[in-house]
Amino acid sequence: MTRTRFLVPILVGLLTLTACDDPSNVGIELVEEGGGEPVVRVLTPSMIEEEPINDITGAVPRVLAGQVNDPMLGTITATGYLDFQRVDSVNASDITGVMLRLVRDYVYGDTLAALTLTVRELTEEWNALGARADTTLPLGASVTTFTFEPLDSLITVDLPETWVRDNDTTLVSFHFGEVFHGFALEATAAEAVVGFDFNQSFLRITTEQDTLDYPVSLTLSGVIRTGQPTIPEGRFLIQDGTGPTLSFNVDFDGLDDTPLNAAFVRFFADTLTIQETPPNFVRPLIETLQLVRITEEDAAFVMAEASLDDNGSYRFSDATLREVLQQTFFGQDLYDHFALRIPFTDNTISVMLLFDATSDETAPEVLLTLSPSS
Amino acid sequence: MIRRFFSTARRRQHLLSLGLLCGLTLAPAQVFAQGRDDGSLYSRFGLGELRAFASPQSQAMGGGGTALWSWNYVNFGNPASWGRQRLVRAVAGFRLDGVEITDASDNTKRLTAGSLNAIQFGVPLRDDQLGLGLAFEPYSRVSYRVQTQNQLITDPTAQDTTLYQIDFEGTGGLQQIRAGLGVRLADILTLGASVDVIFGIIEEARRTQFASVEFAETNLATSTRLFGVTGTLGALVTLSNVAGQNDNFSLGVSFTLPTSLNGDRALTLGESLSRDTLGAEIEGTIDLPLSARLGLAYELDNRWTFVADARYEPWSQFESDLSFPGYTPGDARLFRDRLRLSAGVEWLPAGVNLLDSYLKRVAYRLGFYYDQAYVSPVEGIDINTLALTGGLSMPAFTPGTRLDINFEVGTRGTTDQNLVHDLFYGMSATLNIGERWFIKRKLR
Repeated sequence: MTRTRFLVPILVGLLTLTACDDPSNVGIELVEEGGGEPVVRVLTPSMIEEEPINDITGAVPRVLAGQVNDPMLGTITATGYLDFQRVDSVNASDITGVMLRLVRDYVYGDTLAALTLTVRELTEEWNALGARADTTLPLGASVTTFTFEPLDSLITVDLPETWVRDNDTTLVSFHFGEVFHGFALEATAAEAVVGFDFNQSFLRITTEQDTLDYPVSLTLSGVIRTGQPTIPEGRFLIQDGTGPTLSFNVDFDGLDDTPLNAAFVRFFADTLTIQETPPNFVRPLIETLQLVRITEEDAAFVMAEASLDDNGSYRFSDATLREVLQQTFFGQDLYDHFALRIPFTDNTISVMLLFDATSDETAPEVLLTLSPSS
Repeated sequence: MIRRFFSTARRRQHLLSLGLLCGLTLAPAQVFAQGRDDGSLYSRFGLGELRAFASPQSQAMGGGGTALWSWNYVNFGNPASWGRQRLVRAVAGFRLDGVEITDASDNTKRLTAGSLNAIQFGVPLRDDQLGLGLAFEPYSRVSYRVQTQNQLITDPTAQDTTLYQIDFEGTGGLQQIRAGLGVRLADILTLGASVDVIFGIIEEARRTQFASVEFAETNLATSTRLFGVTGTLGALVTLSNVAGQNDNFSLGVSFTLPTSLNGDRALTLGESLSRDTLGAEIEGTIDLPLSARLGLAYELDNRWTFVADARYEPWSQFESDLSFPGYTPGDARLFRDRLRLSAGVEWLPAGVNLLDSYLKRVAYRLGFYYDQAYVSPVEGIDINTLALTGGLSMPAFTPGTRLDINFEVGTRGTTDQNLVHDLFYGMSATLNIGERWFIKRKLR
């Protein structure tokens, strides 16, 4: 009977034996007619159009000011708006000086010609969140003008004593935020547009004993273009701030219900032409682009980002892009068209020329790796 | 009656054993684990590799047993044999299969897998006159996996290539639940009938993976769900003292009726809970042909048993609205009639002497079978199986309980025409518990 007691554990043990496998490709000919080899399809985007756009320039870490006359792209004028936040307090009578301290981190245009900007008061409360490049704010009286070289990295502007005396109580008031609405930086004489770093710029209040730095609390850049760009044939212009950008679509006919392993979208950039500039003229290039899907309600959703690579192209690749296209193949209606955008946090007026579909070698392309069912 | 039924420790032990076996083996979705996808490539074709399990006794003797009946076994090869039962029987077994697959270039791969054989119950409603049979057993099995690797130029402009791998996998198969009665009408004649519910899912999947993380894996699967009902009729004629004293000669016939299975098929993409269904589900009917079995059994002196069987199924008449590997609707060129021939012998040295030594109470079995498959991947090439079977049946627990250990080894197929040759082997263990239940007490 002893031996029979082990029967159940033995039987259970046999049951738990798992499969040992070494699949390999032996016998592959018996299943190959079932299809399945992945294939790559290269599609060319259709209906590529320049899309005018006013970028979001409010509440971003850089404010633009100045004016540039670009021989290829026209005249671009930028007015910067800044507001500040009070920190701590001193006695108004103790204030000896007020300085606007600006750190430059961007330049577009003639790097040798001096820039003159006018500091003007802003008279009304304003909101930067979501504000776009075509926004203008009512300007008050001029406070001062200052001149600097476009490549200067630190610009300090001492505000006039008369202005300091007239505003000393406001500067130290607990109601500073409600009474004081900031400054506008308006181009008076300029051959360049510069950008000032939000995080390193501030309003400095000086007393005999102390120094208070009021950080920037709001920013907005009003940017407008006058005159039409002159673009070589076979290219599209995209520019941050004023636009344009690109919109396009892709014909996915015949791909219904097809499994998608990967999707890449590539636009080739004409980095040579765009960098043909007059001497000492800087025309910054767009470093990063976003590929977005635009719904019928005009909502934009980012699918992928791409930086300019060593081959001079922007190559978009992301799981979100793949999933959107896969669901499209399944019949979902997730977009009206696609578009290229510049991340609004950059806040520049940088540019790029992209090749259109007329050239075989540099035409935009959508590469799909598919595993068809048969 | 119930309290009496549970009264003995032995009975509790039997029930515990059976319960443990059934509980583990009836784990959801793995009842017939069927080794998932580690079996013969020939199981890809048609409805899979056809399987049957009459009893552990007949399995060791070539797998036939249409005319075989025994007080020690419930034989599901012929429902007529259920009329000749004396003990309540419960049977559960599982098997371990291995296959070595070789192609024309002598490349070889080895696969092994475990699976459940069957769960069977037999209940004598009236001693040696009327009996019930109930079983959950395999009908077919799809179990294969092949892998291929290659390079793909994923960016023609940059001439970038990426390594990819495709796993072709087939899993599932059909099972059947059978229930029926056997009745002994006369000394020599027993008839039986069962209702057989055939159901299951056959899934073919293709998993494509890439070496680069920029490429998502896709798992495309075709799942075909089938369901249908058929019936089996059987007759068993047993003559005693035919060639000499103390012998029995039996002739058994059994027919499983042609039937139609309802099927629906879906193409899905993705993994388990997050699958997307592609396109609309397709429905259709699959017509299964008749299955006819003829068997002979000769028992001598309660020690020797000889069996021979033939099974015939006209699969050339197979029709289906759904396509399967090897079949497109209206084109059954790759299907042929199935013929299975088997024979076997059992030697039980002790005969009916329950007091003999243990080794003499062990039954020793040997058999063989030849099976011409019902489907071939290539027109004009038959896929034939030739196998040797054998086993030991060891008494355990009580006189009515036995543990059967069986083995099987054989070959299948050919390497001609890009086909493969299988060398398969298997071992199974079946616990066969028999007890007298529902004893009516007599008042003195």
